[in-house]
Amino acid sequence: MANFRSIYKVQVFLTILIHLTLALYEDQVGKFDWKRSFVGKVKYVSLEARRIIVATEENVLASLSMNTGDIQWRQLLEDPNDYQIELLQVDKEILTVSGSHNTWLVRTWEINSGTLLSEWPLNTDQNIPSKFTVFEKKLYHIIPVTASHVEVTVYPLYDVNANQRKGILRKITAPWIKDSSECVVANSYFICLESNQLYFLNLLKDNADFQSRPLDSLLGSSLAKTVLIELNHDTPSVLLVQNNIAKLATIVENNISVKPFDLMPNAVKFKENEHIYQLEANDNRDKLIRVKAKDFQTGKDVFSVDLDYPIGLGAPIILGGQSIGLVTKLFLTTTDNALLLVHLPEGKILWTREEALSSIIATEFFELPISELDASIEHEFDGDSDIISMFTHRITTQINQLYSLLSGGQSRKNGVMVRDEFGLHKIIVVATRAGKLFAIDTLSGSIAWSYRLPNIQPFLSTDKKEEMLLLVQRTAKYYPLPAQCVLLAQDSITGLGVVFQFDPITGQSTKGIQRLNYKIVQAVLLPYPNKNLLKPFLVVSDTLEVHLFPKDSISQLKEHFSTTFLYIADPKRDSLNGYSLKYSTEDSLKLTPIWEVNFQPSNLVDVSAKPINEIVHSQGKVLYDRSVYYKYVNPNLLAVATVTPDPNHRSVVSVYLIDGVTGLILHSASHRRAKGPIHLVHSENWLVYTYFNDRFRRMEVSAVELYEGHLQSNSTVFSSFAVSQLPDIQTQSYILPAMPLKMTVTLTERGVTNKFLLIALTNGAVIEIPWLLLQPRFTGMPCGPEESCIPYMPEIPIHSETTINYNQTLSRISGIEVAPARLESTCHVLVHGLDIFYTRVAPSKTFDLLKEDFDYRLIVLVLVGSIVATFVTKRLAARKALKRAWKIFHKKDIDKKIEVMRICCIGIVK
Amino acid sequence: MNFYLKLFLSLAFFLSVHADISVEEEYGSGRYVIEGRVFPLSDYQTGNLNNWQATTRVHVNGGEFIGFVKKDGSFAIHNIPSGSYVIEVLHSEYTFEPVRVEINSKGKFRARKVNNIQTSLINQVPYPLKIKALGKTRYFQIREQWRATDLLFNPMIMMMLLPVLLIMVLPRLMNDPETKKDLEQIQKMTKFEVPQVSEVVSNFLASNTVQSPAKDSNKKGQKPRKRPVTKE
Amino acid sequence: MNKNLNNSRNIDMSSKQLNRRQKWSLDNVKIRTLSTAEPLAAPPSYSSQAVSLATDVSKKTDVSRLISKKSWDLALAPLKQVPMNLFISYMAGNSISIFPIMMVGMLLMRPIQAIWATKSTFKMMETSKAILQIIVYVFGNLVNVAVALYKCHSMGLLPTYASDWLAFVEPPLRNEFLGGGVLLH
Repeated sequence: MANFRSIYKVQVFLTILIHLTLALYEDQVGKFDWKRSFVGKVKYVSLEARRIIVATEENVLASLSMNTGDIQWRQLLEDPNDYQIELLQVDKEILTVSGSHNTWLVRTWEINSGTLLSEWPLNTDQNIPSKFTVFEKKLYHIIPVTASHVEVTVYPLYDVNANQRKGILRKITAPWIKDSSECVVANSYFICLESNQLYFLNLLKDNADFQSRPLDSLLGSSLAKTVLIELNHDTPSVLLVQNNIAKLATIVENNISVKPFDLMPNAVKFKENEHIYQLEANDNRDKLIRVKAKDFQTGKDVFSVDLDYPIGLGAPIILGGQSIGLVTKLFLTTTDNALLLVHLPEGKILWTREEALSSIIATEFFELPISELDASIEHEFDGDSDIISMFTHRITTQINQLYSLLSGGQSRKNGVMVRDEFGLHKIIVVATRAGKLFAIDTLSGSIAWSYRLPNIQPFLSTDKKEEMLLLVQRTAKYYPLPAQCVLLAQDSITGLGVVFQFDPITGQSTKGIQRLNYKIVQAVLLPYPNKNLLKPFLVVSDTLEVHLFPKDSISQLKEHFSTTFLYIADPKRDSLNGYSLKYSTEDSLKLTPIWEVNFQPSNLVDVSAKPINEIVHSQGKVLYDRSVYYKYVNPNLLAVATVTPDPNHRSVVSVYLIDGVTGLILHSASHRRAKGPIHLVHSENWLVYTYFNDRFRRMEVSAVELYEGHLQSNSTVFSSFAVSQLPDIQTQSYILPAMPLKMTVTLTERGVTNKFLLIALTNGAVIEIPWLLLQPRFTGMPCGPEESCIPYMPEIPIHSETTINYNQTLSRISGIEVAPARLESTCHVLVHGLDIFYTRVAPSKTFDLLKEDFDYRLIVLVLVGSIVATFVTKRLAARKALKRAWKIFHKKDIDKKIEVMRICCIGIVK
Repeated sequence: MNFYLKLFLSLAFFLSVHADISVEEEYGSGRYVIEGRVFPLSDYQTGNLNNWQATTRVHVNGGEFIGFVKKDGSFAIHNIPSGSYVIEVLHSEYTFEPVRVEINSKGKFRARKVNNIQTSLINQVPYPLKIKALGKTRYFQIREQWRATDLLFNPMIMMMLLPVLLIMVLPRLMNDPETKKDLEQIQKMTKFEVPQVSEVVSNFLASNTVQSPAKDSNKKGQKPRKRPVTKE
Repeated sequence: MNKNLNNSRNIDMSSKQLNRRQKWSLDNVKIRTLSTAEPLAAPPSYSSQAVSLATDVSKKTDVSRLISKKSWDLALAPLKQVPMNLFISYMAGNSISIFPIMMVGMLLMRPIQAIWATKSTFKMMETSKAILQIIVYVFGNLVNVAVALYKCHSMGLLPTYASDWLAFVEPPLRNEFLGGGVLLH
């Protein structure tokens, strides 16, 4: 019986789920979504016949097309935070060594497809940064052990059974050695620079020792710091860089000698020819970069070419190259991680890849401004024109509007950035780790503009998470005022704050980069626009001083001193602090601490506030008896997650709900024997978080929902101070049969549409789960389709249909950003990581839009058919009526008449 | 009795907890290799996915360790300390079932199906792993196609058509004199002698208000007249 | 069932018209003979003339009586429909789909329309003394409206609960503003 009931329940549940899940149709692929793939900042490169093999800092091995720069194949190795590719060697096959201090993996790959050919581990006892080189089909692993010796292990690469692969270890005494950062491998030599002595070791000779030469004897005495850079050549050679001037040192038969000519530190050489290539700055404004080729032996200029270097890119470095006859291809990377392929001798740039986009830190969606035509109607009251001209102006603009409407959206054809009716065309402004801003068009995925900010870097928040702040001061709604946005970051050298104000639509900045003389700890956008409709923002410095931008908006702020609060979560001290601006004056803003929650010995892992622009449409939940259970929608509520190491339970995950104004803890929950990663999603009156249950070794997701009760205490104004009673809290936990990487919730314009959780999984899928599935069920209340409630199931089913990115696997997802469209049903989604994927989701289906497979022909056909049918039947009916009229007078029907009369008479008598 | 039961239960609980802990503490240090082989669907070879090995990855605990598939479909994931791991084979077009692999400190391997609800249930699978594709992953909904029969057998359409039929066909039947007679017959049969309320009320009121001498005769005069008519 | 009712009403209407004609129509006798001649022969010692005379005497009262009877018929028609409506609403069920909605709409609309058209309905009666009938008529229609409303209520179509007004509740204004985040370094 129970079994039957459960089956029935499952069935009910499945039917609901089918209605809830909204898979794509196959023909919708690529209609409104796009994906861009990246490889990251390139570390090693090898140019082959038709392809470029790159190994990047994202621990990615990829093959790029020589002609277009497109990715032919891409293999993602382990997490780049723990593992890095340390060697890339391309011969008949690709050899990579990747790993960290003492665990390494040597892999060989097929060049054409990127298929793995072989893999073997290389483990050492020494947990020290080390160097690798391949020489004569042997892999050399060089570990410099500080102040003791250098360990060189030689592994045969080919024709060896993987299980019997054994390295030959050799220890060479080197008491002077510090670490590998001062050492390079040049050809078969291991060269180190230590306390003004140049040491070098021939790796090929089994019993060779370090030999040394004082640096003074090579370069002449100098106090400047010298840096060692390897140069790829048949003759072992290095660059000795001093004061930004490089000297070439070559080792010939255990004797080191320095060439007499000067080189740039960025000088590079490839194996094929005898030229050294270096890049120089050019005075020509159109061609900023000049490539100079020098002869290896003499240092004489062979040729120099000016490059068509694109404006906006950072300073380039040659990473690799290839010479076939006269044609040389140079592979450049820039300080903003862009990749370029230069064709010499023309100096043409064949393609550019913006790899900065592989590490997006902050994103913001912007609505586009109205078209010039629509805007011109606003000019009606400009100047003091008379009524007639105003009238003609209005009529002409409206005729033009009608014309453009009839001609079918000219604006879109021209590619002009103009607002569309449904807000589906937006601009996404992203800030990247490399300090470059990009504006991406949502329709095409193309870059609208980019702006490079030199010497900036992101802040660090909890757990190595990088953060930059993008604050929207003014949207494009207020024509003719342009939209305005602010980027906050820190200087990469000093760590002081950087403020950059720009127009997100055009990318132009009026003020340029402002460098502050204090460190930024946090910044808050205030909701009080000034007379220019510009929202001011507060910047909190590391000394907890507050600065207002722009300064003249103090008049707006001063009215709200007593109702403006700040919170700062300190992951170092594991505390959450609340501040007030109450005691500020117009002249000096002052943060007054009002409360503090200290979580020690727990570690504060994450803090989550609600989305600022979220609107809660429904103020309550309708129960089965049609009564209302009002939601506790506290916009000041913060969710805090902590992890506590515990001797009995290993680690305990705790989640708190804290009012950010008063510091009141409304709810807390602990999960024993649980650990991170913890993802918090906080929206409306609920919180969803995931954690790993260590006891049952599965991911679990918990939902917390807050209710005020059957009565709403104050339906007009919400104040955190007006606490009459604690909210009623419902919780429920589920099993999540997947590993989440990032989690967020959809956001729509008015909040009417159902909420969906978007979860990025480690397998590269982004799935959507309806909030209804997670919403805590009320105990003792019926739950079924009538109550729009799905019966509780412990394990959340994950269907492949719910994958919003279908078969477009996304790698290393670092964030999911959502923004509402002007269509209530639709929500923009941008998933970023090593790939960027944009799509639109409609959690309740596009109820406000005709389906795209709507059959217009059928409806026209039916309409015309019914109109024709009405006319035909009208005619027929008229004819029939006429016939009948004639029939009555027909003699044959006399009986009928009598009958009729009889009936009438009976009626009368009655 | 109850007490003993409780004691027993608590003991059992304690033991189970203890066992759980001890299993975990068995794991020591040491590096192991998880090996296995991926068996693709037969249309891997025939389809355009002849290079499936390059696009297939093996994730251990959601990417903590990564394995790649060689040409022959085999994979080996190195440097794995003892512990419990979930092995997933990932391919964008095909679905594979995940497997849990447990390595104890002595280097003994045990592979079993992943069961998130009953975690203690052991459904062992052979090791080295043999992972077969379950099928093609369905990402898309199938678009409904318009068919005339769908429209016809739609209950709404049926319900619309039925009255139309009734309207069109019934008058025809009525025109037929025989059926008409039949109908009349039926009507007559169903007619019952029910005193009309309106009559009663009107009579009652009339008697109250008018109070004419004709009332009596009316009543008498009407009844006999009515009967023959109705009985006819 | 419904059809039957309509039929009888049609007959009523026609008889009513004939009634009116009766006052002056000469045809009357002819019709009567036609209708009465057929079934039965007059019983012995029954004079048809006497009857006709008697009817002539009571003609005036008979007409007014007929009118009042007709008007009562009319006035009581809505009340008679009540059990029928109850049955229909019982049959329609409480699920909300197009047919039950149509039925409920009919149930609700018909009596309301009838109330609106009371004046014109009773105008035909040519008596101004039909106030009681009108009251009964309106009352009967109101009962029908009540039945329909009860049906609406049991179907959940009436906004009688707080939950029905939930969508119109404005979100409360925010008194305090809170901003902040994790300490950046």
